[in-house]
Amino acid sequence: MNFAALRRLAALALLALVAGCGREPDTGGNAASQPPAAPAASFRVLAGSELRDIEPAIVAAARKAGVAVTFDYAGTLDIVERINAGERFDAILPPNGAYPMLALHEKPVAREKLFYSRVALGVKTAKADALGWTAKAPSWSDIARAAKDGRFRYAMTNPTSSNTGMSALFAVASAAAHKTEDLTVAEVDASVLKDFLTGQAIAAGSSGWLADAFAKDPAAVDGIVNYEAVLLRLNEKLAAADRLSLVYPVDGVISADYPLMLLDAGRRDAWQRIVDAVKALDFQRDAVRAAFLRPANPDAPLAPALPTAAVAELSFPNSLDVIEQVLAAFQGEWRRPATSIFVLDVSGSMQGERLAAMREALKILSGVDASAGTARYTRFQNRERVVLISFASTVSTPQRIAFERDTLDQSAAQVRAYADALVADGGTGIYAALAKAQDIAKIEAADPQRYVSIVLLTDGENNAGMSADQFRRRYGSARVRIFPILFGEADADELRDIAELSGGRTFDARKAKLAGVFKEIRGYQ
Amino acid sequence: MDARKLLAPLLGAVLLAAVGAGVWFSNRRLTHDQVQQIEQARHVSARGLIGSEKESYFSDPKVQQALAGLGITVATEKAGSRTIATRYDAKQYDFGFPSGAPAAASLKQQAKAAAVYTPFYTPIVFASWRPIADILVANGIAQRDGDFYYVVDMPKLMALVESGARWKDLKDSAAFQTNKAVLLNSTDVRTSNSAAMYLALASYIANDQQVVQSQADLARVLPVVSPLFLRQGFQESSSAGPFEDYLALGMGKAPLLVAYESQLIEFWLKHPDRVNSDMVVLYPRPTVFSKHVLVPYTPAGERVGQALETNAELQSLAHDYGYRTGGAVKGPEVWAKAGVKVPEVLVDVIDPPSYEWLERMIRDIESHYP
Repeated sequence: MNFAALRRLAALALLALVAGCGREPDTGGNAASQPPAAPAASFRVLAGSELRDIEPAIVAAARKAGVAVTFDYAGTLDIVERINAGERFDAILPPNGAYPMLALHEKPVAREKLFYSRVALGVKTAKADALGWTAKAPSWSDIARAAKDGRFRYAMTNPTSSNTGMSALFAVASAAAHKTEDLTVAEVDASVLKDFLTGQAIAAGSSGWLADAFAKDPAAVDGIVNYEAVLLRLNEKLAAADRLSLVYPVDGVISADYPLMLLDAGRRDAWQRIVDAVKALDFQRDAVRAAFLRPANPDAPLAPALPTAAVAELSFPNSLDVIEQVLAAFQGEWRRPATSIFVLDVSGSMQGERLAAMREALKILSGVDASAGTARYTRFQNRERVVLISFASTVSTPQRIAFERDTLDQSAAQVRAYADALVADGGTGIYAALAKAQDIAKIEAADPQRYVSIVLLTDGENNAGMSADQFRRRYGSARVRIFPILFGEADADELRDIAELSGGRTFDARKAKLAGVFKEIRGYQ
Repeated sequence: MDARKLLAPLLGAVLLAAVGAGVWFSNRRLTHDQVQQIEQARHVSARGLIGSEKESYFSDPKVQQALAGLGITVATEKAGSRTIATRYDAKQYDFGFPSGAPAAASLKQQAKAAAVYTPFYTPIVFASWRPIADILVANGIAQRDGDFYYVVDMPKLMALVESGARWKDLKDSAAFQTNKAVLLNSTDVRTSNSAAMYLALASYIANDQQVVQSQADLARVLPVVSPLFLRQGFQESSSAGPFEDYLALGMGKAPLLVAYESQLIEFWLKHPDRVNSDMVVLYPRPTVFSKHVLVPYTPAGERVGQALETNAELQSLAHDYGYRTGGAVKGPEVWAKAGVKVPEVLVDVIDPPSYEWLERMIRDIESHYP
């Protein structure tokens, strides 16, 4: 063997040894160039509820990229609270990343924006013309003035439950402070906010339900605050006279930017595959466009219905404190004060665990443990009137408890004492109790500034007192919404009818925790 | 016989041979060609933590192919540049590739790297929109230079920002009637390099056009530069985010965005129809270069650095992504052929402060975040 050959051999032996000390070949990173992963546990995403429409497209695109995705839905604040409480998801897909970035105890490992949608005002075209808003975009103060004068009534989600309400609230707050950056609560002109909120005729906990409610009864309001994507999809279902013009206030809006935030570092590869699949040109050109969302991929064309004119973009405050103070001021001072009527089943079948669950739920709303998370917004608020009506075979005397700033603790104690004193016994007279509630609601609603709603909790079918038909005849045209909670052996069809009749919706507590359902309902009160 | 008993002496022998060979080699140097042959025969996989703006470069099949030709496979993860500097981990990564010399300097120390590589650089610019640029021209803050780009008088712009002016208060601002403050959008200065370079620039202006390098300087500039970041509200942590917003949401979101020149050039080269659109680039005068510095943690990382800095094909591919390079062809002459007529040479370029002073400024600003 000659010298050169020997040298080469020795060198290769050395290099092989050194290389052998290295790590395994890499796997993550540029996922696009890799073969599909072996089927793993499905990738679980907790997302904003308005994304239901585009879920099948995302699931299909992810499947093609080798990832099985499943979706659960919640409002933005709730998403954060559930993750902070230890619930496990691989990623979250909130409509806007600002609040989660500030409020999550553990920051996301990675995030990537998938698409965008501006939060806009949908106004019936004839109304928008009459207000002069189609010719020239109004400022938020113009809108607040129209609301105060009774010329503009709108539907908007509750800012403490849902991102569209929160985005609109902060847009108005910024506009009212004449600044869009480093906002503090002291700078917010509360009178503009109050004027604006005077016009809120329908509240809701979710943007999707709000759009459905508008579609069912477009006559109830002049317009609706929602994602432009939701508004354009809504327009496809509406009669010509009810179709909405998109109004973007001249001083600005806050857009949703849908960041897919990875929480579990171990799922980075799957996360990257989903991101790549959703940001790919074909997905953005087809599914994103069809949903009237704005693409994140600059090569994808915009849906023609989406306006291209510049709209000033406002931002959320960069401080959790300020966000929380504004939300607290909304609930306690700026919004229309609520009268929340609870119609509570204490028939014999409620005995035991069910009654205990109801007591616990009432106590949580009374503000037990209101120091953390969203509890401070879901608890009964300053200026709120709570009416508690328990029923079995007959209806008990309603208890009214007023919450005022100086007496919040006493009022809360009254609610807790009421809950503790409840005894389950007798039959189920749903309609007689609802009739009582509607009578009280009518009196309360005589004050046009009160936001009145009824919650019905029952675990069985009506078997005493007024019949469904009698109730329908007397209260069929009542405008106060009823939100029935399905519990125990409640008749789902019967409760759905009650909800439909009043323009409310049902909530299901047969599997979910009752306290959680009560908190969710607070967005509708 | 037990296999282990056989294996142990065998391994020992290999090790001995290897060490012997190593000693022998250091005495009898291989020729340069031979070393290269051996190196290329050895294929390496390198994993790097990179500034997000370089992601598209590394995922380009042509780049991957050119690297493969040199026996290198690269996988990347992206993060903000300051984050990269704090996530030094030679077990997980073979190199860090932040943008910005200051972040790289810290990384170099941690990695105890003998050499670093600076394959590309790019100046800090403002990505903007024609109506905004026209408002700035009307107010004597910017001027058009040639038929493609604008130059911004940085001291004047900073004075306007400091005054708290709002767009709708400016002369001839009908195109952007909003209460939004005249403010540059940037990434989060706590995590990202483009914002740190903007800070370098703004602090230079606030320090009477001197690089910050003393406690007295610091005390003078901080009250002026902190609000540039604190007033922005919620910010992105890495530079690709705001640029995506700039493209997706337009002028309303980002009238003036602090960006790398490379981001705009890359976009225009890929979207020729947008070269003469409303999207415009403003060059601050003075400006600062962001140097993209690759800090190797392992021999594999070194291979990547060498390749990027010396290989003509990889440099030419870097021009596709808007980076300026050393070598015979620097970038602007290539871009001009596509109608992207940016300045070939930037004359008024400042040095960023040292890592230490820049860090002190950032830490002070950080402490004021709510």
